[in-house]
Amino acid sequence: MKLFSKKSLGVLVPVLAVVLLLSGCVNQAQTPKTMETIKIGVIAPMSGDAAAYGEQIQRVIDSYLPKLNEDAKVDGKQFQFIYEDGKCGGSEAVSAFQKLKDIDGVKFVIGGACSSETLGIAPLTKDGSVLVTSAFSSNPAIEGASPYTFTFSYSDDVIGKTIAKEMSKYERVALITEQNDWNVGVQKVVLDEFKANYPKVTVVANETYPKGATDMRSVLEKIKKMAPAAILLNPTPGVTAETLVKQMAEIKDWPGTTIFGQYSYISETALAAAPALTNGMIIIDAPKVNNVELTAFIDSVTKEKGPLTDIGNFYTASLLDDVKVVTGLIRELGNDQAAVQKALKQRTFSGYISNNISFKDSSFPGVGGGIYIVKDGKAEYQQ
Amino acid sequence: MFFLQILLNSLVVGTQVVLLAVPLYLVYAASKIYHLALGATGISVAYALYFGLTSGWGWPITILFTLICAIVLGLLSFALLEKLAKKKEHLFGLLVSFSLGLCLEASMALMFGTDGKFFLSTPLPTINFSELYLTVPGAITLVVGIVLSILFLLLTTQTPWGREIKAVSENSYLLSSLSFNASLVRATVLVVASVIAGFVGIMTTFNSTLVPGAGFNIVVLAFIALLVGGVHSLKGTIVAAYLVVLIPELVVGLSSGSYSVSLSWKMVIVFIVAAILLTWKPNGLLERRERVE
Repeated sequence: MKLFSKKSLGVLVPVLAVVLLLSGCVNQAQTPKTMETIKIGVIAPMSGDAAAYGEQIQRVIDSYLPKLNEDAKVDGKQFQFIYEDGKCGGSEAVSAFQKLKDIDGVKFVIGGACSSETLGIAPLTKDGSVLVTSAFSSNPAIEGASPYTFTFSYSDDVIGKTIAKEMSKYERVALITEQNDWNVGVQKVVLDEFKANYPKVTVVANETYPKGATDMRSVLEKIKKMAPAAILLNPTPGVTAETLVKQMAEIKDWPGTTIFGQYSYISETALAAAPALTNGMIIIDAPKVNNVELTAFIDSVTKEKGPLTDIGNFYTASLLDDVKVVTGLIRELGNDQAAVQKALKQRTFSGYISNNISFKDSSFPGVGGGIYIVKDGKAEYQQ
Repeated sequence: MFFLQILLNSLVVGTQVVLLAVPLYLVYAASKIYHLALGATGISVAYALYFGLTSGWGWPITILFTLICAIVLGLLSFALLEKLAKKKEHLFGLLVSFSLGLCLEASMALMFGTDGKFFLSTPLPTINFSELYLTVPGAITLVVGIVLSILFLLLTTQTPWGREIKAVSENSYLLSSLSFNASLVRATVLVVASVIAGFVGIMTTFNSTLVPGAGFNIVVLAFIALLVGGVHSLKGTIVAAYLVVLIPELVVGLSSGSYSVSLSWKMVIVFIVAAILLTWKPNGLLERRERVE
């Protein structure tokens, strides 16, 4: 039995064709496009001594995400950030990276935050399967570690050179360093710089202690015995930085010794651990970022989600620049890590940290060092 | 003065280890089990104190809560180890104790996070003698450590209680036939050990930072001290504890300038010292050769 006669088919087919054509037009005009969700991995210390940094990184990204997705709607895209704990360590960051790449299928990772994390995952990006952009890592070893690894931070080379220049005003200097990639990177640059450019400077003590050590008293006694005119405190940010100044303050007598610090002491929490000792400390870190829009964003995040005092203005700015540049290129070029990497290498970007962010010849954006002096528990920007 | 200051700092660390080596010895003497969970037990008790203080309970209630936690952990250890001690399954006992330690450490990390905590957010108060200084928790550790060491030396060698402990581990069945309650002796020892470990945990972390893994290094040092000093001699264990801690601390602390030895080498030196002492005196530092009939 035939379902349709030839005659009825002759009518039905053109009618159906017209209906389908019209429905196609209606669909195109009225229903929203299917949104493409682009997953971006974030590797940061979500636990351990530096957990405060991971928490604050998440605060910044989560606060910026609604605006980002609102803007990306025009291109039919939305972004989803997946956080993994790098624990400020290389091996843990590698596990986090592999999970993001193999299970979540991300092509872009923002992180790691600690240099150990970024240096751990950099070799895994050499095949071009994932593009890694850190907002925090500053170890000079990141330079050229992989064509698919970049950082929006300043380089420790710049910071180390600035520290050496400032400390060269003293003849007898001492260094106390935590055994962590970032800190050892800074230590190496400072020592090399003394050797190369400041022959009058004598390093009377160059002490190191294991990562996460809780009792540095014997090391501090050794340094005190050598009576240095200046000491560089070079711990990882967080609890160890606080422990170091607390135990130094217990020893009390540091007459005529100028104390230098790095990024770990920008945080008011670290300075509050030993206010009398840290008052007058000279801190070398990235230059202060002054931007009305950025300040408003920081105030709003602080009000709604909590403070950003540990990562501070500069790293909030570098993180936002990182997210904006990467997501902007993804919106333009698609979820294609190779195309985004090519654009990163070729173009110049404007952001909070600089109006001239460029990765043409480097894995770093080319930002200089800043000098701060601690007054009343706060690091005040000098130059 | 520099030498004395380094010696004083090293004595505090050494006494922390002694204070953990004593309960480790007591548990071994009563059950022949190396109770490695004592390190984590001590830190868990320290977390209990931290919890009480940060919850605003006030000192008396917090101390009571901390003490209860230490006793509960002692009874938990007893519940886990008693059967194995009775059956003389000492290796299983070691494994169960080690697992308990890991479990406690992980639980603390889950409850309080792995980031360090401070009992005091400012520098610790110190006691000064001329140019020398000692933190208050350090001074308390030294005094209590010396008093407890002498007390337990006397208790284990001069009183029936000490003989009971040894007898329990040697032949608990025979002791039971003489109407002694071997289980009660072991339970008491484990509770006392937990309380002492808790004190060590509190003093150690008061003096530095409270982190879930803080007990591991101390218990490893205490274990080495027990082996080096001889598992049958509390006096040997105490002497060994000071030796395995003081030698590396002094090597690190007294080396300076271009011959400075980094703090990172400390554990390496500990193992070298332990290896030399164990090779020289395999049965324990103060063990005498005995005629075998």
